[in-house]
Amino acid sequence: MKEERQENHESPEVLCRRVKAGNEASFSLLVRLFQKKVFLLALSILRNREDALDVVQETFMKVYQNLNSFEEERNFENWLLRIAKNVAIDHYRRQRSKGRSDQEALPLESVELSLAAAKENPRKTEMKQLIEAVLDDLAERQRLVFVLRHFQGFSYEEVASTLGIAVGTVKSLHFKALERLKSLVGQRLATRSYP
Amino acid sequence: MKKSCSFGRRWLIPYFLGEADREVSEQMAAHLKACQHCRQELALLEAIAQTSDEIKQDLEAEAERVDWEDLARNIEKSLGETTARPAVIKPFLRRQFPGRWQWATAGIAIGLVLGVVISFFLLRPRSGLIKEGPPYQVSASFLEKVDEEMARQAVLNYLEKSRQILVALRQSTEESEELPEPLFSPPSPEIIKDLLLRKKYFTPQLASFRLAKAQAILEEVDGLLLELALIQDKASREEAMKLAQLIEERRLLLKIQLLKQELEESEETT
Repeated sequence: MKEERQENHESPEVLCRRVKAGNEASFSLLVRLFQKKVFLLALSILRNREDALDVVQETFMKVYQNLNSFEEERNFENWLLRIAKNVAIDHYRRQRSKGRSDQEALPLESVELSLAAAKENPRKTEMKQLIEAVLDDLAERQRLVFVLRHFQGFSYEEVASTLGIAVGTVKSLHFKALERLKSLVGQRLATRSYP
Repeated sequence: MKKSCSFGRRWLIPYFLGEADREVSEQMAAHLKACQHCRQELALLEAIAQTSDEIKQDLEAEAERVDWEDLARNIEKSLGETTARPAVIKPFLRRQFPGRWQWATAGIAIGLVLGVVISFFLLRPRSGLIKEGPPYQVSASFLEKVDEEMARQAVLNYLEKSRQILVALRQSTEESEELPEPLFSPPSPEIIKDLLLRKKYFTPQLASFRLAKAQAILEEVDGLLLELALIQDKASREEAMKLAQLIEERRLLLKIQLLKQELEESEETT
């Protein structure tokens, strides 16, 4: 990402200013700079490739429409990821309220990982599925913090700015998320080991 | 094996995340050697972290399979299909109070406005607190009575001043019978003119309020006053006697007295 930015030689904030001034090509540069990051964020939350691609598209539409309200002294990336997070959460909530069938909402790895890989190491796949499943049992903010921290590799500060909460709150939510995951995974493993 | 461990429950996760201080880390390392439950919990945390890393790698692998150029083109196409970017009007506060202190500035401004509004309601005249009722109205009969009363007062005033002049004139003739010239000095023409002018304005009211008797008497007085106004400086004995005789013949002082009495009595009854 940094390399791409260096190629463009312009900060996102400068590109924003240009878009505001009517230079539509600069918006294309912004899309190319950040689409992967937005996709990964959406994919972490939704664990569904098509939904994540929809989120990328919707996010950039929103960014484009609301660009005039963006203040240049703010960090564009934080602003963009916050919008992406909100769009992804909306999708996630809609998914849950619609009660998508398991077939439609298969965890990412069960869709994407080749069957061969699963056959090679079934225990590994099982653990991933287990974590994917119990993540849905976490409170929404705990789940978001865990996903951003572990699947995105965000620092506490990055998580805080993306979610718009204090760093201390992020640490507290992360602690609770780990505690709950540990407990849920332990329970499920115990049930499977001793049916 | 213990089912739970209070020390592990408090410190295992910070230890695992590397966020515990050195002393706690050393205690936890020693504790783990002795506590099988905490060892299992730690193994679970490590498995979760390791699996999360693998999921992260899967996500990145998934991202590599996306045709980014195609996605960017789709986004641009969607943007092209939408209407032009709306010219967002800055919110009122941002327009009025630019800069990073806008909320503080806006707060002060709102405080001032509230202060003015509250002060207005607290300090406004008490009449303003009276519940608004129907508009103030006065009946026509009441206004008529007020006019009548004012006319009566004006007539009484006129009569009293005229009486004083006439009495002075008569007394001067009585006192000056032995003297070669009367001592009576008529009031200045300005005083008489002022009196007549006042009467001019309340005469229509006298007609309206059926004070015809008063009007007749006042006209007689007027005649005398007009004559007095014509006398320069001092009245001659002859002039003074003539006027005194007129007052006597017409019983003006008596009429004035009776009229005054009548008006004063009617004032008391109203």
